[in-house]
Amino acid sequence: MMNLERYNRQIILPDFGISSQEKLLNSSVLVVGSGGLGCPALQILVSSGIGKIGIVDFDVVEIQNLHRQFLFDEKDIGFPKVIVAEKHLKNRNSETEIEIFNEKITTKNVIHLIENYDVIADCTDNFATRYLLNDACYLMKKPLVYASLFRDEGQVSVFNVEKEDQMTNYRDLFPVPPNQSEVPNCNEAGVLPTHSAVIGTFQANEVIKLLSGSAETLIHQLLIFNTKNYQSKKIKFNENQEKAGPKTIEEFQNFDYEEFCSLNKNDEINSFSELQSFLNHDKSILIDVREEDEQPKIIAMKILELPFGTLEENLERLNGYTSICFVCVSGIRSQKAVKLLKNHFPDKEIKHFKSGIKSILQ
Amino acid sequence: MKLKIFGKLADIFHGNEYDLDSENVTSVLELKVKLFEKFPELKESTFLIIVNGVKANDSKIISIPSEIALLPPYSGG
Repeated sequence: MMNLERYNRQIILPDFGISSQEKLLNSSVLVVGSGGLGCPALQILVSSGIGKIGIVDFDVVEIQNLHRQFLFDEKDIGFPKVIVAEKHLKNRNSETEIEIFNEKITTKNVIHLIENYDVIADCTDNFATRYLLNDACYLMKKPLVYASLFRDEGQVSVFNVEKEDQMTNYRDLFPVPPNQSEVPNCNEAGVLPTHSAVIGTFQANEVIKLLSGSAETLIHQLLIFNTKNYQSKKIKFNENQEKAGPKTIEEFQNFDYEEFCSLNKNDEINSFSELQSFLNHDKSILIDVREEDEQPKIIAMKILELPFGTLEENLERLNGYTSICFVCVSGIRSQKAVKLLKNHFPDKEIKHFKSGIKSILQ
Repeated sequence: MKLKIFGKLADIFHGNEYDLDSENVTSVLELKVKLFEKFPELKESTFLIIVNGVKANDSKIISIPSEIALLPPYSGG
């Protein structure tokens, strides 16, 4: 039986009504990560009258969490976040069923975790988990409400919901992750409590609209919001025809996301003699992923010039090779190329020449 | 040509806006070439180029005036 009095102030909204409230009551959301985004999102979602809320997190409460993670008090330091959060949220709304998972999401457990929920919220804080969750939700066709932070800026979007014959996800924006050094997380970059709360609130807003059907959501759109100067921008994006990322659940479960989002020594070719022996058979090729105008060119070796941005358009040209080595100036683009191509060709031997073009020319 | 700069890229451009001389820039590819020339460290950065509010590929033609933004991924939560 629905508590009409409790939710009266949202039910009386012209675009919401009893039907939207009923949809919330009969739906479920899994919130992955109960930190700066997860805490405000959870408090709002549980207050709104969603039927079931799951929380996944393996962290314990630390003192530096308290300034922005409002579910936790001083006395909670050292305790598992999900246990503290559950207690707090049950006090907030005893009508919502809370399910907690005190574990790290992995390729092995994530399918089982998400399959029983209608919508998933990505409140995580690192690229490895974000790509893992994105790919799992893509394969399971689970709507995923995404949010992320950098200093005073936040990004929000809604993935895996079909609209105008398209279904988009994070890989349609960023097919492969940046290097770790390129994009610091909140622990390294810093964040104000107001900012994480604003973006976490936007994220909860998308979940509520999506579950209740009360308004349009950010499907095929990415919202960028700056809390310092209040500038906002919504960008549109389309589905890539060439899908990066695992194509089947089995491929997904064997995919190493930690490796994908970090430096992997096994992908590196470190000396010129090693490179020569790698290229010493018919089905091997060296690919220069620098832009067309970058000099000097290599002419003495068998080499293809495919700037990093054009790789996915030229996959067919690589079909005949079993061993591929990428090279750029300093080993960063070539490393990204390795990650990208491994998605498309899991069976090929793909490496990069880490020390770059100059070491070949010397 | 005014560029809006997001995320950590603002450290490279020393601000959230940059006025780029738009001579010879008629496509996203040409924009990239020009940017890479001016800011070589961008070559090693991951970012999208947004033209008039839409994620653009290298072949996208840029007409003047256009609103251009450079957008990297964020990971914090």
